[in-house]
Amino acid sequence: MFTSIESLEQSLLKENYIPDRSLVTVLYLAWSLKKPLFLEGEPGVGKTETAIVMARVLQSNLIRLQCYEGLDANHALYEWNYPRQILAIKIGEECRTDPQLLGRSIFTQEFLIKRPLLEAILSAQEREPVLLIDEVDRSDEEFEALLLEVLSDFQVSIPEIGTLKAVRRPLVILTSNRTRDIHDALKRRCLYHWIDYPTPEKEREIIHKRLPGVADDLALQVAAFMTRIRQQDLVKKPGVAETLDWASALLALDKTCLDAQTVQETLGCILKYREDLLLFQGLWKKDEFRESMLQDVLERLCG
Amino acid sequence: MNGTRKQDYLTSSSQDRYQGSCAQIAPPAFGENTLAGAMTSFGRLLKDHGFLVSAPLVMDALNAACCVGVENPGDFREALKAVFMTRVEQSGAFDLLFRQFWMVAALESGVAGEPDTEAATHSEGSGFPQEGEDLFAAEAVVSESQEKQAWDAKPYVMYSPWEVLRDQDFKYVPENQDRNIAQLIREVLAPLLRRTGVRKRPVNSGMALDFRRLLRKNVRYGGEIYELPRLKPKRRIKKLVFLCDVSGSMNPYLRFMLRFIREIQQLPSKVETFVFATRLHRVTPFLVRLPFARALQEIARTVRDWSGGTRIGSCLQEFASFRSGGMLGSSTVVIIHSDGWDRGEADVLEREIIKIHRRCHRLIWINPLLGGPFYEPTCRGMKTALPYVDSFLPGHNIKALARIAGTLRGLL
Repeated sequence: MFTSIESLEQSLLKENYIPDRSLVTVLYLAWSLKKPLFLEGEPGVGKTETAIVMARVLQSNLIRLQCYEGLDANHALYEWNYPRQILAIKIGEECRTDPQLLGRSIFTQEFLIKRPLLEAILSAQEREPVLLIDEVDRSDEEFEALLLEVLSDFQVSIPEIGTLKAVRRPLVILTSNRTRDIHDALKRRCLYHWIDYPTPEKEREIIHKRLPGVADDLALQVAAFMTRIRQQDLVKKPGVAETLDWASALLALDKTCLDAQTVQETLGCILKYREDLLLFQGLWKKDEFRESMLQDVLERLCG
Repeated sequence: MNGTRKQDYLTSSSQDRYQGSCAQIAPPAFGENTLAGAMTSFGRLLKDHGFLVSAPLVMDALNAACCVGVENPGDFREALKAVFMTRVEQSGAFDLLFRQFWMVAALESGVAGEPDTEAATHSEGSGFPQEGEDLFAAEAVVSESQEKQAWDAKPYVMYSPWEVLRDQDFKYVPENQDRNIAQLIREVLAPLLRRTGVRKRPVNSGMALDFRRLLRKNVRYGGEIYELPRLKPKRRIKKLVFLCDVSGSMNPYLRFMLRFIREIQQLPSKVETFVFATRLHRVTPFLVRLPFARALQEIARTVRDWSGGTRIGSCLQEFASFRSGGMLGSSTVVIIHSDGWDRGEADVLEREIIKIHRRCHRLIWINPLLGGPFYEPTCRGMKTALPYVDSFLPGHNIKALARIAGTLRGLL
């Protein structure tokens, strides 16, 4: 489907996603080597978005598994539909069905609830889907062990049915916010990539692509401002998602450029912690800080 | 385009071998000037520097290289990086090694020395391989004044040599007793390590019904409910975080504490280790992966770049914001190993210790000086921190470590 890194880059750009060259490289590798891709990065840099866009680019469906502590095989892999089985037994009894036949029939795929991992394996038989395993760091070690098994040979053994094996391997993207270390055994089976915050130029492009209504100057101002604010010692640094929120808020308020007043009014779009707001407000009162934030923006405009 | 390129640097014979012998890492079976040979050597170089490299990974790297080609050095580097790297902190080291290995020309013209941005932000002070020096040599300078004030007591005298060892202050344990001390530490921890963690476990009495198992079990009765399996709440496994003071005054105790931590890592709970003096540094990976002596060397290498006195407050601040506070939580036990000699500001220390105390399950402070007969927490740092500490324990000999193990056992 893709012959080179450049062709993949073009496809991603067509889907309004502006990646780094290094990210395209690993995506291309993940796709051509059929290896899972492990993405790490600060919240809001577009890890999940990468998987969603890849699904669009590959024109296949996205299967998403959101991880949480205590997530187990029943919720990630498969489960028997017990109420339906009981109903089937009851009906079978009423109709005096052969018990042996009944026994066999209630353990068929019809009574199987496919959870995301199994679904990814089975639907791969028609077209390779994108499997997004989101926020792996939230799950626990037991789940990692399960993933190891599934990701190494893409097959699931169900005692009552047998082994189900993927004909085509799905493109697997794992994301982590890094609240804890993921075991090396899992990482070793994956390609690793760290997504960093975009450069101001990249961020401007992203705003431009996603919100075409935002004026070019404003987009540049916002991008430069965000880069500066991320250098502050904040509890939670605003990500690209916040940039887009802010830009669309400014668009809705019909602003064409950033000034001290506007920044104050719309601060809630980018800073979500009281500590951060207080810190910023304290800094913002200082003339030199305010000027440097806006001056930097002006310099960028001139440059 | 990639299929044909493969032929260019894998001569057909070496390609056969590469598929046949699974790219053994140990001896380079390939000519050094083939890509496969070079990759194997590169893998070994990375392995020597603490990367996790295995034969399948080298093969993956070769596949990746064939996939992206070698015309664009940036792409080539990113491809290898994706294969070999497992955490972002390795980025700086990887780039350096990559340049050293693949960019001979760049190295000769001195480009390799240019500062690396990622290395600067993520692993400041992990000054790259220089040959080992004495453990914590630089820190000895800091310690002198503190050492003078530190507790000065004679070792206890007892009959059995093992008993002596058990009671002896670590400060006076001779180097050649290391092995015996390690043995004693293992003994002390044995009862703690016997406990294993469980996830949600099914029992026949308890509050909540396990509906999944209920239905499953009762299918055999044709849907009549005869058995009521229940769930018991899962015991939350605590995370242990050790913060070890590496300033000179703590030097004699540090080795044993690290040994203790090393052994305690067998617990099913997560164990994280940080060392601090003027700055905080995470050393968990060293203690987990490397043999103990190598781990000490690596930690010493990290420490060596630091200077100035201990600043407990700012180090705790760094810790509280590490991974956006991901190190703290209601199931975390924080253990600080320090004598409380603080050159930083007292109010910073107080603010941070309050924060940590509020955000963790238990805060334990281990102070080896407490083992002295006349010790009183008079130094400023210790006085500030003490009201917010849940357990204040000595850690100067094996008996004290046994007590720590007992306290931890009660918490897990």
